[in-house]
Amino acid sequence: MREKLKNLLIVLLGILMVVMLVINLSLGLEESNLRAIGHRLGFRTDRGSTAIAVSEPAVLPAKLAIRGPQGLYLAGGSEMEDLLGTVSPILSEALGSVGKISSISENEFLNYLGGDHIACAFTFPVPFYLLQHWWTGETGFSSDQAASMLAVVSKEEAVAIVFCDDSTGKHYLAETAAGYERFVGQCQAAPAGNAFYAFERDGYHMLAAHEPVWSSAVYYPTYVVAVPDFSAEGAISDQLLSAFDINPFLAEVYKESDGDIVYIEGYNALQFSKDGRIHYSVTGDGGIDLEMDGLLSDKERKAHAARRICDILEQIGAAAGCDGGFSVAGIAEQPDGWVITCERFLGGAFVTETDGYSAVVTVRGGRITGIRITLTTAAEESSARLLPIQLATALLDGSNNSFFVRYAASDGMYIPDLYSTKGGARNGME
Amino acid sequence: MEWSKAKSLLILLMLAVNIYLGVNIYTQLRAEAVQEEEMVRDACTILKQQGITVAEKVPEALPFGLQSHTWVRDTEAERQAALRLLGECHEDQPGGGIYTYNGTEGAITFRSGGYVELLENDGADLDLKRLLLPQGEESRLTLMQQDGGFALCFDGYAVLGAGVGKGEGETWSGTWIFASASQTGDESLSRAQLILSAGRLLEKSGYTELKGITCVYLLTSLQSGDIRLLPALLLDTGSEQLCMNALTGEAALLPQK
Repeated sequence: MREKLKNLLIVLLGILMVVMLVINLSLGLEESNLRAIGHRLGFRTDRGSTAIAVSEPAVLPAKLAIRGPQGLYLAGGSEMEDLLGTVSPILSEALGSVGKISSISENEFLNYLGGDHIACAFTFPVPFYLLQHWWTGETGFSSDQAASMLAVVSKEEAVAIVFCDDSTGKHYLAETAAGYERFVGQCQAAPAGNAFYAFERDGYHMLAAHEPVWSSAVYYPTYVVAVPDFSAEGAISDQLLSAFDINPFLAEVYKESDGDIVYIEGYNALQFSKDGRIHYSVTGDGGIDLEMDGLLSDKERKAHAARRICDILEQIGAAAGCDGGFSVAGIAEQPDGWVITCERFLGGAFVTETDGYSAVVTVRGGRITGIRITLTTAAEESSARLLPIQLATALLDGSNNSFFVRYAASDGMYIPDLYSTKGGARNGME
Repeated sequence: MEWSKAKSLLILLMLAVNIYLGVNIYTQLRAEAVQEEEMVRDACTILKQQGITVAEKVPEALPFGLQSHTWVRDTEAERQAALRLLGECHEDQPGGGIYTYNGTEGAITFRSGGYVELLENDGADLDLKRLLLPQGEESRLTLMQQDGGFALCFDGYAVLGAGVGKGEGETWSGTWIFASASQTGDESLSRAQLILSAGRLLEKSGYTELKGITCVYLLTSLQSGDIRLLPALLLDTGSEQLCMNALTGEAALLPQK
C-alpha cells in the first residue's frame, strides 16, 4: 500500500514538474521566440491567423461620394478607404438584391443625384454583372448593362440603384431589396459636404453633368518609392515563389549577367528584374490553375478569374513587401481566355506605372499563362495639395470631360495629380 | 528495501525541484506585474512632464490584454433565432445577403453586418428577448434593456454600434450578433502604451487632463457580412469624450447610433 502511494506520488510530482518546467520556459522566452518554437512543433498557430481575411472587390471605385443633410461629400486621399469600409455593406446588399432594371433618361438620373445617395465612379464601364459578383461574392447574375458610375438612391421609400454607361450614354434604374432604413441612416451620418456635381452649378459645362467637383482644397499623400532588390539574399522568398505556383525545391535558378534572376520549373518560367518587374510565362501545358471547374457560364468564369487574379496579385505584392491593393482596369477577350489588366490602388487613387498598368495577366484555358507585374514599395512621406478642379477646368476644351486622381512616378516619388478623360470613363485612361 | 529508500529520496528531490520551480514562477510573475505597474506609472509621469494630467483612477480602470473578435455571419443561427421568436415561418432570400422570415405574428429580415429588422403584426406581442438573447452557456455576450430598446455587452463592456430599438409603428431595427462562436484577433497595446497614446490624442485635441476612461467595444460590419468588435477606450476630458482604438492607439470614430 505504501509503495503504491509512493509510486502515485512520483507520477504526480513528475507531471507537476513537467508542467512547471514548461511554464518556466514560456515565461523565460520572449513571446515571438515562443511562437516560433510552438509553430515548429505544430502546437500553436501564429497570432491573428484565425482572423478572417476579407476579400476586397476585384474592381475598386476611382471616386466615392455620399450625400446627406450636410451636402455632397467626396472622399479624397486616405478618406476613401474609410468611407469604402462604411458604405460597402449597403452597396453589397443593393447590388446583390437587384431585381428589375429599366432605362431612364439623363434628367431622371441627375434628379436622383440631387437627393441623398451613395455614389461610385469607375475608370472604365464595368459590366454590371461583374460588379454584382465582385461586390457580393454571389453568382448567377446575367445583366447586360455596364456602369461607369452608379449611385444607391432612394425611390419611394425603397432603395434603388441608378447607373450610367459613359461609352453608350445610356442610363438605368435597378430596383433592389436593400434596407431603406439602413440606407437612410448611412446618408444621415454622412460627413459635411465638400463637393457638388457639375450640373448643379454654372460654369462647369466642360465637365460631364454627373462629375463630382471638390469645392475646397484636397490633399493626397505622397510616397517615397523604392524598387525591391530581388538580387539581395532572401528577397525572393518561398512565399513569393509559391504565389506563382513555383516549387522552390524543384525549380532551377539562373542568374543573368544583367542582374535578372530566372526560375524555371517544367514549362513555367519566372523572371525577376532589378527594376522591380516580374515576368511569369508558360509554354505548353501548365500555368496557375484558377479553379474554374464547375463554373458553367462564360460570365461566371470571367468574374471568378478576375477576382482570383486580384487575390493572387495581392499575395505576390504582400510576399514582396509591397502595400496596396489591385483593381481590374480592363478585360480584353482572347481566343480561349482573356487578358486582364490591373492597376495598383494606393492612398485613395490608382497608380500609373512608367510603362502603363501595374499588372497584365493572360488567361488561357482556365489557367494563368502570363503575368507581367511591376512592384514597388511605397512609404508615405507627406501630402500634396491637388490643383483645384475649378482651375483645372480652364485647361479643358469641349464638353463631357471627367477628372481622375492618379499617382505617377517622378524622381523616386509617387505624386498625386489630376488627369482628365474625354467622354468620362469610356475605355480607361487616355 | 533499497528501492523503497530510493523512491523516498526521489520523492523528496522532486518535491524540492517543484518547490523551486513554483517559487521561480511566482517571482517571475510578480516581477512582470511589478514591472508593468512601474511602466504604467512612468507613462503617467511622462505625460505629466508634457503638461497632461492623468487622474489616479485611470490606471486602475485600464483593462489588460483586450483583443478584437470577429463573428462569422451564421445564417443558421439567424434562422434559429427567427424560429424562436416567430415559430413556424417561411424563408425568403432576395439576394445581397438578405434573409427574410415571415410568420403569423410578424416578419424578420436579417441583413449583412448583423443588421436586423422586425415588423410586428397588429395585435402581436412578441418578446424580443427570445430573438436577441445570446445563445450558448459560454457566450460572453449579454443583453441589457436600455431606453426602451436593447443594448449589447461583451465581457461586461458596452458594444457601441450594436443595439435594437423601436422605430415607427410596430417596427424594430438595429445591429446585433446572432452567431455563437467568435475568432480572436490582435491584442491591444500594453497599458503603458495606451496611456501614452491617450496623452498624444489629448494633446492633439487641445486637452490637458484625462479625468477617466471607459473601456468599450466598437462594432464594425465587414464587407463579407461578418462582424468585428474592436476594443476601444473612451477618454473623458471633462468637456468631451474622445474615442481611441485600443489596438493602434489612434483616434477612432464612434459608430453612429
